[in-house]
Amino acid sequence: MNSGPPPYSGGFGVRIIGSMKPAPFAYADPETVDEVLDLLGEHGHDAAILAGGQSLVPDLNFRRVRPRLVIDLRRVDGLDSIEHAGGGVVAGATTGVLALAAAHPATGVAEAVSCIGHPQIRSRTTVGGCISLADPSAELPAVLAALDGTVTVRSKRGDRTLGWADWFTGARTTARRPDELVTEVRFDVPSGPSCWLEVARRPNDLPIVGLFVAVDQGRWRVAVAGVGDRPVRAHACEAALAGGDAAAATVALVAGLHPRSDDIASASHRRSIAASLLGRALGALTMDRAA
Amino acid sequence: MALTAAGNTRSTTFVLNGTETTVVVQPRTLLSDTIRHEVGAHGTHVGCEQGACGACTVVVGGVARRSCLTLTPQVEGAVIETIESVGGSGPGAAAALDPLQQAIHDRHGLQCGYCSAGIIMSLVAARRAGVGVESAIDEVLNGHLCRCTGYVNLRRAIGDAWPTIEAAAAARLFGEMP
Repeated sequence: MNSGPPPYSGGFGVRIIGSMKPAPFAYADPETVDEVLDLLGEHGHDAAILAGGQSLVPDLNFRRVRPRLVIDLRRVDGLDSIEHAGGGVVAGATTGVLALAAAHPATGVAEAVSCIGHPQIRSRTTVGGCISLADPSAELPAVLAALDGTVTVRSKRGDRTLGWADWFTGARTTARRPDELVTEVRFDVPSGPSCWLEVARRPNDLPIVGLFVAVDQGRWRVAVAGVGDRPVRAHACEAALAGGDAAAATVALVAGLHPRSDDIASASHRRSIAASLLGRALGALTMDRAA
Repeated sequence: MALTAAGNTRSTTFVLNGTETTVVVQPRTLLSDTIRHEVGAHGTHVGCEQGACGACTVVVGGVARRSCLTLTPQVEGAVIETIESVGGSGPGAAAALDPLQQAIHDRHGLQCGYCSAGIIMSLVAARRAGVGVESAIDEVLNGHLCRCTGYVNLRRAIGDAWPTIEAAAAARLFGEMP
């Protein structure tokens, strides 16, 4: 064992009690889902679930969250799988987004994943974490919305499966109850071409607006991130695209978005970005289809 | 299942730069603080502690990740590499820098050096994974803040030292090198 200076010893004899360090918490690293459910059943209201940690740990460091218990999923078997069934893909709570992208190369899903965080963050980012954090500007929640995704949660009371529209209940809030663990995230894999486009202030930042477009068995699917407190599925836009009218689709898309202005972008700017992204996406997909 | 009560410490064992290392810390201790304050390896720097700056990047199990976004118990059993493992440390020829370090030195790819350790660890992992030079420069470097160099000389250094760079890619990326 290496020896070193005492912990957190600052210069001039100052003992640093950093504000950028997590507050004390109890820590558990269970090995089975049942053990996780026992812990959540007893302590769920005061517990945080640690998967990749790329959003939780910054929140802990700045004490934006102060859970009494952190439940680390790292040793739990069976939560990091990827399965394909019935034209869809099923990912677990701790399935890495890079594994998801690798399973669907050259699709909008892989393009969306390539926009998540920096490579050194993305290497730890999980599907369950993205979907549970439910940031309204994030990539995967919009992908889930476009592809009719569902989320399955488990507690000692049993399993529940919710459609994406019921899962996302607001900005960074979901329908997960304190005693529940996300066990499956499922969405359709589009049969045709798909793409993800976004505009961010810097590459790998959360986008100001992001757009997912896919063609699945002749049906268009369009969803937008960054235009509200949760991802928005653009049904009217899809209907216009089905009629082959790109101009009407753009009008329908913009008419269906009700973003709020904030210090990053005004509402009209966000609508304008969405319209531009749709034009670029249709161009990209048309070239794909011709190829 | 091990449950550690709040305020209590727990033992975590990992391999750090080839040496099996055991630390006894509270689970809330960040890996960056364990490496610096418990082990005493000060090559890994700490900047923002929210994953944005990249100064604390280390290689865990062959993958570059932020040590400030890693709780110490998460690396139980892991193989960790920090800047101390890069290049030689012995006398004479054994003190030779890694080609990446040498190129960054030659090209003036650092000024204050605070970001360098993290950048080099990201590049070491990318090089081992066979990442192409363009991805190394545009994607990997994107995960690191450097406020001194403006990245120009860093890009040139990576172009110099990358093992698989093609002449055409080099010309496109860097133009004529001085």
